[in-house]
Amino acid sequence: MKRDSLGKTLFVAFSIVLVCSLLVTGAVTLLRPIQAAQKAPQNFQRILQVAGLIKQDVEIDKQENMVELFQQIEISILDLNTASYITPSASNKFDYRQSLSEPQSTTPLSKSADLANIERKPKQMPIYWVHSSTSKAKIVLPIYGKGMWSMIHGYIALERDFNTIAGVYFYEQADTPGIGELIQQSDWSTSWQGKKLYDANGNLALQINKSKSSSKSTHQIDGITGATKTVNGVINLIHFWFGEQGYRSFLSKQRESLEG
Amino acid sequence: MKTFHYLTKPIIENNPIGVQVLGLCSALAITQSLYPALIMATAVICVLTFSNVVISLLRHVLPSSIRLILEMTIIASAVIVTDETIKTIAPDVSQILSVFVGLIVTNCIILGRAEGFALMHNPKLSLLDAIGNGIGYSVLIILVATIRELFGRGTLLGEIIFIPSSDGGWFLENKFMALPSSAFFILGIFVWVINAKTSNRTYD
Repeated sequence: MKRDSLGKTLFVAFSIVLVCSLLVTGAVTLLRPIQAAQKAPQNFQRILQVAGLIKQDVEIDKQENMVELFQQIEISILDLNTASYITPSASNKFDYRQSLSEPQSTTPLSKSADLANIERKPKQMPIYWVHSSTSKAKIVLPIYGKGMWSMIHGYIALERDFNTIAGVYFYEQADTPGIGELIQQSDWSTSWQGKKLYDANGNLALQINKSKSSSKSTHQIDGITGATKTVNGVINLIHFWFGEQGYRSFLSKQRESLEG
Repeated sequence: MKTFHYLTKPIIENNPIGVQVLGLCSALAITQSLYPALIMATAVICVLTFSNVVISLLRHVLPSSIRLILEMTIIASAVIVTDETIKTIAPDVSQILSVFVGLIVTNCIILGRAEGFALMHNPKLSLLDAIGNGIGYSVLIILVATIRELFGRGTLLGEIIFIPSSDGGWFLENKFMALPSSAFFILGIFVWVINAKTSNRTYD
């Protein structure tokens, strides 16, 4: 048959293979970013929870809705020493929890500087800008440190003044169940909302409210009965992450740019 | 034969599973509950329609010496695109369906319709034939999945229909329905019923 000539056979084969490969690559390039966004759903869900966009303890059921919400999260990577952004190619893939176990991405901390008891400090941390249609973007920062027994991992969301706490969520801990564990309860974390990290002079002022009778200050958080050591650990890690070693210089830069 | 028959005939009378006994592998594997079966049915309809129409359009161009390879290339591309789409819009279901979406490539119904129909008919008839066969496949796996989920777990699409005895109801879960082998028996009954109703059946 005429159509079976070698030239035509090769031509048809190449054309079909070319079109098919374009089809496949097109679909994969188009869909992979969306899939990657779904692979980090737990992490993103926590970020959305702490930013107050979704309620805590809601399961990821409404997938479509979630994808939409995930797109409101913008990730930047922060160099903790220079307090400036790093522009890596794959900020979506940067996993700070992974980087903590790598010696080349952490620096040792001296005993006096190591408030959070983490021994080594990461060079880079991801920060998340959470955009929302109803309010100004909030910034969500990962924080961690030693509680009584275990490493506590959490996120803290700040309002646009880079001072007022919009929400806090400690998603991982292994302190005493029923006591230290209560830091995960929404009862306690909601009591953080509206508190301010720094006072008017820019000093880190957030403390535990020791005396019940005193009028509640915007810098004081109620402790948890019986969980003193865990709560102290939480305050220490806040003081570490919002002190000189942590996000302080970055946040004051941001505040200055707001004023200026 | 009227044009419309190309669409309706494969649904019952010449059902790809019930009569041609093709595509059983996936029919056994993914019919444990209704939701994955619905997704799988949609995927098969999409792949079948795409491959049948494209192969029908190319039927005068395809060199006969490498015809099968090119048909498989087209089918495989359609399957990859479908698989990626499912992974994107329904990641949890793609976990359940696992390899079975990818295995649509080797589903006999797809290549069977391409070789047996699309190569000899125009795109319009091939489209009707693909949709007909897709619906035929879907009807059977949806029926099997409905029976298996309803009597295996007392639910449909995850909603509780029969209250299980563990929660104070009367329904005792039928563990056998959770096993792939139960699909064999259910499919067997369907094959029997379809064959009994369409008496002019011939093996070909």
